[in-house]
Amino acid sequence: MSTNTPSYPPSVPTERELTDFGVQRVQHENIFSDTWHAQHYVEQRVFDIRHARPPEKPLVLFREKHVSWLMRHLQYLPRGSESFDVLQGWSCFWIVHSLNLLGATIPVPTASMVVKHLATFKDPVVGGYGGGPGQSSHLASSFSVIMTLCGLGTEEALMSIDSVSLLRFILQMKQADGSFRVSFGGETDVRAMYCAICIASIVGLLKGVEAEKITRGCASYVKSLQGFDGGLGGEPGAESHGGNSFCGLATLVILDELDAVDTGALLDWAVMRQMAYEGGFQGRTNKLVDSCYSFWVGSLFPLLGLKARAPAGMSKLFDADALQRYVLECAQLENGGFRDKPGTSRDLMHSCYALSGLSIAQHFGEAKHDAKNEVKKVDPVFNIAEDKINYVKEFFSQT
Amino acid sequence: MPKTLRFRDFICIHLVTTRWCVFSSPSTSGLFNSVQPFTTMGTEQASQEAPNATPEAANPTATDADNAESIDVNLDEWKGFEYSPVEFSPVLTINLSDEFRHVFGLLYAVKKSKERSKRALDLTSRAIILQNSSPTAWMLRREVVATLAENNPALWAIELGFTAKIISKNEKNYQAWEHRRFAAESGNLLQTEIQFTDVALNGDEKNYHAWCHRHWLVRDHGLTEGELDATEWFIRTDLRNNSAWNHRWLVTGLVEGARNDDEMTFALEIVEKAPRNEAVWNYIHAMGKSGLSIAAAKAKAVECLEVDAGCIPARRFLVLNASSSEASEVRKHCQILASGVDPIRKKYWEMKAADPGRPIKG
Repeated sequence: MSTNTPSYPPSVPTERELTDFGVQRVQHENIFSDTWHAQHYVEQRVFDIRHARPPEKPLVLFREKHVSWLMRHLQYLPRGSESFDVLQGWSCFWIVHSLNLLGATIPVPTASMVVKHLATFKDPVVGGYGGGPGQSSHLASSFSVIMTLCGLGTEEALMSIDSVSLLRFILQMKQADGSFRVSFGGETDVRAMYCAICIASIVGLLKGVEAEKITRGCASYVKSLQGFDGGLGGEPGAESHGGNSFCGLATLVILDELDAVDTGALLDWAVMRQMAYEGGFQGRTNKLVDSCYSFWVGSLFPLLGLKARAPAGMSKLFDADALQRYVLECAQLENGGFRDKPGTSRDLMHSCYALSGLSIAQHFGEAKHDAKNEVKKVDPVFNIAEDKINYVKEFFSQT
Repeated sequence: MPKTLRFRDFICIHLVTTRWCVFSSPSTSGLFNSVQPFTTMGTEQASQEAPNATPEAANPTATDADNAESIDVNLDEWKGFEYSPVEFSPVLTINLSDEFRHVFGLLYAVKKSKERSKRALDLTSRAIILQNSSPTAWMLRREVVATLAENNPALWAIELGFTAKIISKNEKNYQAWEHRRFAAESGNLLQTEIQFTDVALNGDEKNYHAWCHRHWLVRDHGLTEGELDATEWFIRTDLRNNSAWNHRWLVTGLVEGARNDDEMTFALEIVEKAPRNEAVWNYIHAMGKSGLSIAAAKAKAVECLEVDAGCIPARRFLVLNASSSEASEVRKHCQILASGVDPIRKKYWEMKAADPGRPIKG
């Protein structure tokens, strides 16, 4: 029987089930606003899935299905994917990283093809990489290319990285106030900063003579992002947001500047993002659960645990079993891939971050799992499988 | 501070109608007339001409292979400009249409050239209609507009119209919003931008990009006038809308004396309506941290818990704002939260209970 789709004809929920659900779900308190309606609808769909699943049946990771779905995408994207033309580097990263977490090996000839293809994204004039051949350089594209190459981890892949060209591009994106633009004339936000700092750190630029030029003003910029509720927004004054909180906090971890923000307030905010009934994370207060925040918010706990004198057990302060349950039960599709939430379709981005979040739940939150369900351990700062990032660090420390 | 709505209700109706004009009916909008010709060029014109056009007629000098590809694309204006269409990639192969391959192949070539002309502007329009979030197309557009606007400042208004069109289709488009900031700032057209975000927020009251646009107007351009009323309107429409609370926090920080006891009274009035609303409690907590008295809020939290022991945000508020003399109270609250009311955060509350009075430093 399917784990995702309700059984037909549907059985009637027991009184006990309904009572438990009624207690756990969000109450309307006689104010039927849009927020409540949207939340109510998602909870109902999650309840339907849980009600239809036989309680004795264990949750399984459909590993082979995911691998074949991802490998298929590495060759061809489905029809109507024209918008992915500017996301070629990202698509590669989402696929390669997901395959790594699933423990699948990418055949060497395929890896080699990917490396050669990514090399054509290089912008020889300004440095860095664009979203595809001929496209202009962009920090997010550059990030996705470098992370794909690290995820592939072959010598060919790592040798193809030109740190001088990256440095040139990163410095051109640096703004007077310490922030970064994503591209010439592009937006300025903490995503751009994380992309820049992350790749600079990986290829060893933060140990070089130009390090100060890259890192100048970063910590104070991240400090200016902390919202009234303790989370971090994308730009000063913006609403606290899971993805931006990750980018900001991971940047501070790389720069060893965790004291720049009120980490206690950030923890108080992050811990509230876990949904009482669904078990997954929302990205903002009073918004809906979304599987990609399994990683963005889930990783905040191990990142906060890296602070000096942080109490032991910081990385376990969320309910890892509930998170794992949401990912495997509500986001996973049995014919491969993961989705945002019940009612949406699967896509590469959510598959990548749902699996990364699952890894956080299993390896940092200690969610109960057996070998059949286990995914590889992820590095919470760089979001690369731990064995790969260790190899990459060693590689670049020697060059 | 007004406790009832006055002009905002009216503005909303006004905006709904404006939206209809701006987004749905290009013929009624002056801004859109100039955008219209090249937006439809790719679809209508090509499909009208295709049946009759022979390869020879389309491009007399080209080889047969070229004609086979360019017949439906119609980039006549660019005859003689050298480019190669976007190639199918060996991995992650996407089934790109001929139009897409030619338009973007040409665009990438123009980007690398020095040409910043009207036809380049038209080309970016066509490219962006095909692919809303191509950074290269927006980057070229920015350069072209900056060049052309030196002699034609009216272009900035056209850019606002163009970005409105793209945003109405794809409201989470980073590039279009950024381009809009650039155009509004360069053309000194900031005065209607708040209204524009009103329109975008009318479709999605939590649109992050629209709110960021508004933060930018308030933060960098001082357009705080009316924002307290506006956020109150958003909050009263959906008092769980954390985006509106966040914007209100920004505005009260910029408007002299706005973060006052009246503000606390307003927040407590919203608490009264639906106490399990985390957003408003966070707002009150932040006001307390900024120096306002939270005695009334603590009393309100206790009152809420008497009626509803499962009111997590109220209990959390008491835990986060306890004085050192209230250690036993805090421990009790944390135990209630950990053991029954908020089991998903059990470990967190247990940690708080073990060390009351001291915030957990990450």
